[in-house]
Amino acid sequence: MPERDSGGQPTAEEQLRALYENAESTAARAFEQAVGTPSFGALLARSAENAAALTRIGSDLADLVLRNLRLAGRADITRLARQLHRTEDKLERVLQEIEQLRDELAAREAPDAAREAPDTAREAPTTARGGPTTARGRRSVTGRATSGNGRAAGGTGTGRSAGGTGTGRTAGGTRTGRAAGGTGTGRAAGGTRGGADSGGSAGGTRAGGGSTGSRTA
Amino acid sequence: MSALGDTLGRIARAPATALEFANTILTTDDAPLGAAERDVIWTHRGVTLWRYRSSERTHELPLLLVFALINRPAIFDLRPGSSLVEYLLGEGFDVFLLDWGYPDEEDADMGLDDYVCDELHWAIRETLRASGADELSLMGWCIGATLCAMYCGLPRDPESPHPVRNLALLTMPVDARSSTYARWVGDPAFDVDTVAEQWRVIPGRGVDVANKMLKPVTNFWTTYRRLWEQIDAGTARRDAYQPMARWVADNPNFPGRAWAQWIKMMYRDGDLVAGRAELRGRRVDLGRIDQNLLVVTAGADHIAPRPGTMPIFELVGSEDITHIDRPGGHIGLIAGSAARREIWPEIAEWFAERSGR
Repeated sequence: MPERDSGGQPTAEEQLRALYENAESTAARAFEQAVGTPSFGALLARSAENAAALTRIGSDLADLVLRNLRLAGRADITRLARQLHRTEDKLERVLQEIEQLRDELAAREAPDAAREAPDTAREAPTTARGGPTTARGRRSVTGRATSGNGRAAGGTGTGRSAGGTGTGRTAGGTRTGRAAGGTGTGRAAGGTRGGADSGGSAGGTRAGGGSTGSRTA
Repeated sequence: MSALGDTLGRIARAPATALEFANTILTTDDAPLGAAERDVIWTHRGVTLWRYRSSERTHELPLLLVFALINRPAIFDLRPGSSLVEYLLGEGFDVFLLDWGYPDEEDADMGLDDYVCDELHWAIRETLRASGADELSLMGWCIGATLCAMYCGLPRDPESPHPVRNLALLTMPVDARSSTYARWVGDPAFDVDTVAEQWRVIPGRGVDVANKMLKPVTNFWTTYRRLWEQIDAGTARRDAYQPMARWVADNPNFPGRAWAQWIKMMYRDGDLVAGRAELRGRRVDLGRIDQNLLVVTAGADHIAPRPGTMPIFELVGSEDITHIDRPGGHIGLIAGSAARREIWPEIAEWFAERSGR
């Protein structure tokens, strides 16, 4: 920092600097006020509309050229990606059905195990989540171990993501139905089982699908 | 040193300063981000659920972090010594992070309903499964906070308890109709749906420029002038500047459908605050929020101004409400240099008191 002169007065450089900073902060406030006006908003909105329209025209034109050259354009790639998403959505719902059914199976087996080995059962805390008498401790351990294997098989979560791209959207009703339980659950479970079996399931992880089958049968 | 000598010295240093300045700017994208190691727990489309590794988990409830759609969640874990995640891990939390990914044209049909009813819902499900817990704490920031609030405001399944016990909302917009954004996009003449349809995804760079236009001189000039001066004075901290600058410039695209919904809901109609917002036909009523609630507002927040957050207190049904209000900006309050000593301890303490059995 420049030193002050002997009289304690700001040096010329300090004065110049203060002047500049004052001008900058004044300009900053002025610009902030300017961008907050409706007219600037209208200008920005029209610019955005024009940019969007130009982008669309340019994109469509490029796709037209590429398609006439018999090459895949962005639109083709987008369409394929959307198909993958739909498949992933379905797979995600299938996996959730399997996991839920496996949890229900574990919950069903828990009381039997408790009768046979009361000491073991006492170690597992109970919870209402996933079923009124679910042995949460046991269930979560099973779930973690299983899903851990499955995801590791695909590369830490890849197992799910590989299959998993998304259509949950189209099947939105399925989830609601399943949550409501009853008939909806049964139907969804059937679909889930078929999907899991045909998919070959990424290894032993989805062995729960087998359990699902025996359950629904 | 005399003023003249100082000025001459500065002129002499200018070439070296310019070289260092250019190098700092040009290599910003190479700056490493993240301090904590993590594993993928679940993925769906471009969405990823991360779990941070820790051997010090002492709290029962896992903590799920949710960030906005317009920036990357790396701000939660910016760099060693300046990482909220790192801090929370050190405090014994089991930390999960929901990463929305980089949407592109194929994600143009993603709406707020998809983010809340599917992605967030499923991420919560997977967090519970991975942690073995029955409940969790949810912390959202900016748009992420609004998504979390919307999730908690959805009708509930009466047969199962709600999975969210603690809800923390950081600098969250609830009613943004009086903001500068609203003056930009609130005019009905601005055809939001057409723009969304034509662009398919709103370019992240465009969102970034729009954000910076809120304070044009500060963002486009003052930031760089200060960097120059710091380099010239030898006080610049490249390790601090570059990660933040990289994060600021890393803007994912905003899916067109979600963007149009957001604009109409937040800046035009005020549906969320009026209780008219719907996701897949289910009304979002913030009055359904009965979780332990922490709301953090920043006095100098120009992205989500505090007055736009305050209505939340009159809407929620929570009995346990904590409000932390501090001077600071939208991001700086939580990720700034002073955050580690000024606000992180309070946030961690709030969760810790509510994360036991």
